[in-house]
Amino acid sequence: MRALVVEDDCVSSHFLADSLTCFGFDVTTASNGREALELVRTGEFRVVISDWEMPEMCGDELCRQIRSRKWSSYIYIMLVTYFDGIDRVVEGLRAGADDFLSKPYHPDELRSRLRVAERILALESRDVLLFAMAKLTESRDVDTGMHLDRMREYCRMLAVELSTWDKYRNEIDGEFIQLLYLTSPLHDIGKVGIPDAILLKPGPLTREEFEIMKRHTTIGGETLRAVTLAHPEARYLSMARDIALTHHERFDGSGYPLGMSGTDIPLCGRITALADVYDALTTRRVYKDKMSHEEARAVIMAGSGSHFDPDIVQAFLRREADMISVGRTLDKALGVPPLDVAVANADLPGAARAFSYSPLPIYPTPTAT
Amino acid sequence: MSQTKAERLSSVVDYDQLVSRCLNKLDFAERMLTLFQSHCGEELAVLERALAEDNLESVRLIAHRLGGAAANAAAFGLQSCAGHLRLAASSGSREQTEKSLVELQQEWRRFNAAIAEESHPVELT
Repeated sequence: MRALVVEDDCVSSHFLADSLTCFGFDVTTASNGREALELVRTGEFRVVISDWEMPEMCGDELCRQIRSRKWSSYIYIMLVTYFDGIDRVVEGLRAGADDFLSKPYHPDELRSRLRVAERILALESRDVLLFAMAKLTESRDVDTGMHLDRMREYCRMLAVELSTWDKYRNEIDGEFIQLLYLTSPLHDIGKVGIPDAILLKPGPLTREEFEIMKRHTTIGGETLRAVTLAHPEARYLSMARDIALTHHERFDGSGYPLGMSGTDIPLCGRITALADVYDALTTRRVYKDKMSHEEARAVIMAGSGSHFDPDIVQAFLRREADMISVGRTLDKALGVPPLDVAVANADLPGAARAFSYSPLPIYPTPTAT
Repeated sequence: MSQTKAERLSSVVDYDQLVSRCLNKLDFAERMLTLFQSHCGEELAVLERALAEDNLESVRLIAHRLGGAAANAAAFGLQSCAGHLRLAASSGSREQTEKSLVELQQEWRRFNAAIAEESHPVELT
């Protein structure tokens, strides 16, 4: 890994650079913040270790400059200085530093802190790979547009809303939300095992075809279960498995593949179920036009307690303005015309009554053969 | 290394700390000490010029930098004197700054004398 050392003192710079080289880093040095920023712009550095007080541009300002720009990957910043009290630590972290090291430090401490940096940077790689894997599945079905991008945003919003409820406070923490955002795009990963003739069929599925389509939940669930068994400590894998397996379960037990009901269905699966349906309803597919938000909202409300967990429907209603906003933003990125909605101040219950609930809205309705 | 020499060096540098901080690599520690000795002499000359120009902000910055270098070289006496000089310059008192610089110069002479008498300063066993 390439590291950039920013130090105006040549002794400290050598000391740091030599230590990092011994730890296996490929090190470049800069003598002030301005020079460092130019080097960071090359995009070659994922770790920056900077002194605080320097001519031209100080370490905290370098942090701010780095954080104010968008980079293709995260840059881990560690500030190094004499310990001048907690105020400076707070100031450095507020400027965007990830860690703070007081001089004189021991290389063992530096090495341990760099391991933390590597773990954090590795997490980013993991996240990117997981999403790439999900996108690969989606790439077979180009009709779904930015389904995964919207889905994970919807899931996060629903989870954030539920986390504010006393009932879910112990179940939904920051990690749950982060993992849900990370793993919800894998919900349809089992579709890799569904033949193109069924997955991409523009018309209604026959019952046999629908039975095959339903298998994507078990294919995905089984695949991820095998990986989970190999890495039982990885919570994100078990959540991904639960989502892939249960996102078509229904609250009243009429879903598939297991016919689970109520809170037996993992919370992540219940949240994903609603987000998945909402997105399927509000986007155009080869076999159907898209619904307005009000229509989709009515479908979801009608499914409260049968298809969907009533709590999650309530969370959806509380966050619907945000969900519309996200949908619009991502549609804009694709050049899709916006939905005709007036949600923020709409008479929502009235609007909801205007539509009836239709089951299984995600796929073309099966027909008898 | 004789006990007398070790005592003489240990009055200006914490060798154990230096070698430990250089990952127990004696060549690394020797390189650091040599670099520091050369660098510190240059920094002192710059410090004297800055004070002659009454530029206390510059004195503060150089003292801060020197303190960091001394800390890395485990030269605890110089580190302490550089810290005093930095605080004096920060306070804006020229008189106190001059006094602190004199202390730093004295410590520098003591450091040089100890190093000069030790032909292999970091060849520790």
